[in-house]
Amino acid sequence: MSDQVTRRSVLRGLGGAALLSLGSGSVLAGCSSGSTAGASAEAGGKVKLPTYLPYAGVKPDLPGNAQGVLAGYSVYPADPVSVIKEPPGTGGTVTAMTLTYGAVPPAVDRNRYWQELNKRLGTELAINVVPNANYADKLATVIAGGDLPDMVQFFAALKPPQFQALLRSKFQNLNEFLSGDAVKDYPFLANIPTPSWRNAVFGGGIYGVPIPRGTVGTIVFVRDDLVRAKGLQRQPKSFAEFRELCKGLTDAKNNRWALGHPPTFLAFLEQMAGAPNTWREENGKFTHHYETEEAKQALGDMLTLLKDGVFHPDAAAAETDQVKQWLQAGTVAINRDGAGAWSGIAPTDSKDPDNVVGAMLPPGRDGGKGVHWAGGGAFGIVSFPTADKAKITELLGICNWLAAPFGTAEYQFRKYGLPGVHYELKGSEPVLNKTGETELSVPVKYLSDSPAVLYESGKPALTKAEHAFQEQIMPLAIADPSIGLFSETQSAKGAQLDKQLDDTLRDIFAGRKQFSDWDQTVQQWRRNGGDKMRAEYEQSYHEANG
Amino acid sequence: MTTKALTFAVGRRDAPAGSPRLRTVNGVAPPSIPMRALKGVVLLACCTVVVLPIVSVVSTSLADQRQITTAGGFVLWPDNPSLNAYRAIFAGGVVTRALTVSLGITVVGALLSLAVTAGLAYSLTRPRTFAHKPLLMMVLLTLLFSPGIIPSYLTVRQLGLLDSYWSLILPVLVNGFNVIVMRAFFMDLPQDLLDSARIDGAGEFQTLTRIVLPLSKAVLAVVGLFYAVAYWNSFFSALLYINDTAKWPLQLVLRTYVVDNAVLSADQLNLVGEAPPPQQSLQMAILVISLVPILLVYPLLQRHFAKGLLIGAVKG
Repeated sequence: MSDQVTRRSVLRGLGGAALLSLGSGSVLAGCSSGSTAGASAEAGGKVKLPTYLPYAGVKPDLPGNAQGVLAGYSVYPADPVSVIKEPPGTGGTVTAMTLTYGAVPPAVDRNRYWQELNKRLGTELAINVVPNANYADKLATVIAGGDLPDMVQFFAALKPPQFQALLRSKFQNLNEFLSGDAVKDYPFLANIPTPSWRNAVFGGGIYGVPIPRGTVGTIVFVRDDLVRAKGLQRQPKSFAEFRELCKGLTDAKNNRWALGHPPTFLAFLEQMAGAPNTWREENGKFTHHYETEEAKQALGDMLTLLKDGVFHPDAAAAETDQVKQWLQAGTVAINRDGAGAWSGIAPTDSKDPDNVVGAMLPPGRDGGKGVHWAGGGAFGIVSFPTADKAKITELLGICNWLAAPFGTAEYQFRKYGLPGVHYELKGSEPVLNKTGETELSVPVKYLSDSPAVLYESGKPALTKAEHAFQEQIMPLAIADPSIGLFSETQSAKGAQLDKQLDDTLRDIFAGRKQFSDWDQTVQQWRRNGGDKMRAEYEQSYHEANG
Repeated sequence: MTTKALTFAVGRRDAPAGSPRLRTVNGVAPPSIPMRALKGVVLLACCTVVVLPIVSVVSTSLADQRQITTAGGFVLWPDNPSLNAYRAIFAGGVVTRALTVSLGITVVGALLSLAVTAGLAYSLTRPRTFAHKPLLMMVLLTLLFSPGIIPSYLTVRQLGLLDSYWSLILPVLVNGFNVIVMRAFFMDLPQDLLDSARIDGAGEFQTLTRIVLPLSKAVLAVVGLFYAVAYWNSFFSALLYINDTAKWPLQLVLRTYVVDNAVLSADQLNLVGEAPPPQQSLQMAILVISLVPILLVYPLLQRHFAKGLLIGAVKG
């Protein structure tokens, strides 16, 4: 049936971005103000998005901002206070279905964390855990079977066929519960930034609660130690300088190359050239990034780099995991990865881990500034099949509980379990023990979550470095305008169409096809569904914006 | 007949024959020493190609992260062997529980399947069975068409089998191919033998249990192994029908370690505060765990296996 969740589809799900509203609203991320911000614009199908009310209870050391810079914490907040007095559940059982990337949790009868979670939620939370690789199959089967659980997780990049129609016919429109100020009944859902909510809007209805993620997205990591050893500078100011840096870092005789994975890097070259984040929207007209001259320019630059021999010789066949290992081993010096990967890149035996890894801003191709493709702001959404008001209120209460922010007692329990059983305190910071690592694999974080923050356990310098980098890169961020809009063709054929383009790109990188074949491939993409996708987005945009 | 031929050949090879110089095998002179050395080298090379990946899998499962990173993924021999990966997998009891579930399903499933398959195959060898031809056609049809995921799910759901271990056994109880193999074997038994049983007053059931099955150990071993391996390896039906993770069989649990974290690690998803992805050694340890039980059973059945396969292959 449907394919697996590929890295590409995930990046689109997370990539793309919903910074749209932030530009206009006076939203303040972090906790500087508890006032209502004006971000609930009439967008995404003429629906008033939930009002954004940032939680002000825990003060960050490094404030976040409206551009999507995350709030940073140097140390874990001591003595977190409980912020929800009553359990949200009303007894009985709540069933949920979600994917997971982690290990399978021990069953509830042998899992004290799960038992305590049920107690605190005031309900039996029966989670149908599905491994990520098979989620599409299971989801399609359960939907066809007709017995939907109370909470269903829809992964951003993996929507079932006829998704919008499915939501309308089977799932609860949450407008009356969440739209505008109504969300104030659920203060921690109101604490979820507006870009994340945009992911939950379909055809004029809020059909779920987003599982928020930062909008920083994918960035370029550089092994600073290798750069310093060669007497080079990490940050190039143009493509020419980037090329020189790559050449300088490559030392094939010593098994060392600058770059590892051409498909991943094409995006960075596109960002240098100023290509749009998946789609470009101008006066309601949509252009896919692969149709642009900028993408073609980037492809040309990629061929230059390949000719320079700065890519690892096994790069063409390498998987992204392999490339991560290369970066850690120092076999390659530069790699593109999710912003959260930062702390895991330094080799485990590094003596000075704070100074091993840095990140690179996209420079303008010919000088000046490039653009950064922002992330989509949500991992996915959790939707509820149509039910009576009491049930929906209970489910939203549970989501609200599961979204209690960093620094609260509810957060601490959610992420670390019980003191002495699942974690020990090291200073103010809880550290999971073996039992904790095993039992906390209950995947509640895929049912709802609090907004992301920057906190690197025991590494305040790293938190600071990440925050400083975010402050530099987020002003360059551009959003994917298709987030919050719906295209059935994208949903049904997107993966297949992407694959055709990807295959051609791989062939061009490997020298099996010519640069000149690219135009024809894009034409074919348009005929096979690209144009239809564009038309659907344009129509959806028109409906949303009048 | 094939069995006899095989025994004959083996007997000849083992038979003593004159002085070493004159010894021939099947009338062909033995190869010269260089030729034998060459053959030895080629065979050794072939064996290495087969054995090396297995050694590498076991070694990597015992190696530490640093050595794996330096070696670029696979380790040939661990410097500091440790069982950490295995400890991590068995911690929390999830895998132990899943192992019990898998063993239970495999044993019960394989026995039930064998019983039902033998019954069906035997009845299909009796020419005057009720609806003999249509039944045979139905069995053959299953080789051509398999039911879709959703119809299967709906059937299982309406039978009330969701979240029950029976959902892993009943839908795949009979395999058409195995029925055909077994039927071919039964057809090959001398009709006189069955007739004499009948003269002695045996009914069909008695003929099956007292005459046919004891003579069919080879095919029972083969088909039993086919079924057991299928039950042992299956994860997809569990994925669809079992919502309670406590009832998951081993392969599904192990799959979450191997596939998911390999395809998409937490880091790529930009999750803050996520545990790091399991190491390569963890994945290799999983491979070892899932292989061992079948590897243990195979040598016990091997003798029957070779015989049974040949018989199934040439008769039909």
